Amino acid sequence: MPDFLDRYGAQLHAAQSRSAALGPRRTPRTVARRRAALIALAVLVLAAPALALTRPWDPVLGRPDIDGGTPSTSAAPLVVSVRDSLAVLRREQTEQDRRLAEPLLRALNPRTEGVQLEGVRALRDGYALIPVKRVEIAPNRHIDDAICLSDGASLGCHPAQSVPETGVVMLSTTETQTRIWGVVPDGVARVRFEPEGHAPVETTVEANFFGLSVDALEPARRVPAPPGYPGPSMIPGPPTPVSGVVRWLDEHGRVVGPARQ
Amino acid sequence: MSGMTEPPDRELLSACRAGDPEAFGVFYVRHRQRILAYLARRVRQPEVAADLMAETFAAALVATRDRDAPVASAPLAWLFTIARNTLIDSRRRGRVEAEARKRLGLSPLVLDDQDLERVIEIAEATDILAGLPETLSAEEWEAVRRRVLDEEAYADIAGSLRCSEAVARKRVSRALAQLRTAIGAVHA
Repeated sequence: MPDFLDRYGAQLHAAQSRSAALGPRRTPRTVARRRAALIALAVLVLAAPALALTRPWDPVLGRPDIDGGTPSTSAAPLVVSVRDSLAVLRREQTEQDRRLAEPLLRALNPRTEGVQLEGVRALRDGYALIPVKRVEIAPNRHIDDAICLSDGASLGCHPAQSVPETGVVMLSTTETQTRIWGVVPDGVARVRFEPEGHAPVETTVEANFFGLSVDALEPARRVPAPPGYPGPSMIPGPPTPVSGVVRWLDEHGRVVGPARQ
Repeated sequence: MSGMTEPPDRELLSACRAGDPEAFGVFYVRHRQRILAYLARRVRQPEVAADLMAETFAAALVATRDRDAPVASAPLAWLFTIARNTLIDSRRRGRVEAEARKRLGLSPLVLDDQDLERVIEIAEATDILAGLPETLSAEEWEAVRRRVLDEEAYADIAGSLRCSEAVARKRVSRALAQLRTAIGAVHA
């Protein structure tokens, strides 16, 4: 008995034979579709400024195929203090925000609830700010009203209320580097990172976003090997970010924060 | 039939447009397992993967029969693009689209347990990438495969390719641009 692939192949063959009998020609539907497309394009050109603000946006959130669920969304307004402290949230959301942020929303998971899509901003290509109403950070521990940052691979969330004082700082590692990136409030022009035992590094802030790397890691910790591992019982753990202090500088180079690390 | 005598994909699609009733069938048989495997690894539900594969090939047939559209210059990459778009649309809408199948008057796929097992078998055994990277350098292909198919972060790609994140981004961007050029207009 043929399997489903062959059965479907037979269906396609029959469809092609039916359509071949009509001959390759431009169908009225094609003409109508083209005309409709031209009309739609004209409407789009005329109404583009309005559409940029009102067009619905329905991106894929998280990995429903893996997580078996998807985070909910929320139309609730942003926390006032965070909006007041981040210019990037006071400007309108643009098509570029949506286009650049969309793939990064896949880092969300069902532990985030009430994703505030209207507040999503692309911070730079590859980084997005995502406000959410609630996120579970550990069993029985959650944050209400959080600002999350995503680089597509990782997601970090901080209480929105604390952003004016602490910003949102993300730490990650490559094989040889510690990466520090995040958002800082308006008025911070540069960010300096002073890693322990290494020279400080500085970077400029653009639209509340900063990102820098330092060629340093903490010495690798040793962790228990997985059950059944044939080698030693303790093996080198993953790279650990180097410790250090973050300083916020204003346009005159004065240290203006953060209020706490 | 030996590899030397098999007509290239583009010839098959051109023949299909010209009215050859067998051409699309050859194209379908050649690529059905690869597309099914790609989708099955993404959705992890065999029945959904089969449904998506069916809609992908139906959309490809509809597009091929559309005389206003150019025949894809890189048919396999074009087919993957249709599959990916079909998958994204289905996730957005919470169901697998059936518009192309409706247009062609095709019946829904009915799968039994044996069919579902076959989907899983194919997903595990098929090299979905064979034949796709012909238009790219090895480095570009590696970067775009990791980013688009494996959905790795740029930092991870840069780490394994031993280059900077900026270089990894450039390679992916250049490779995608080349694929887009090769793919041409996608009508799905």
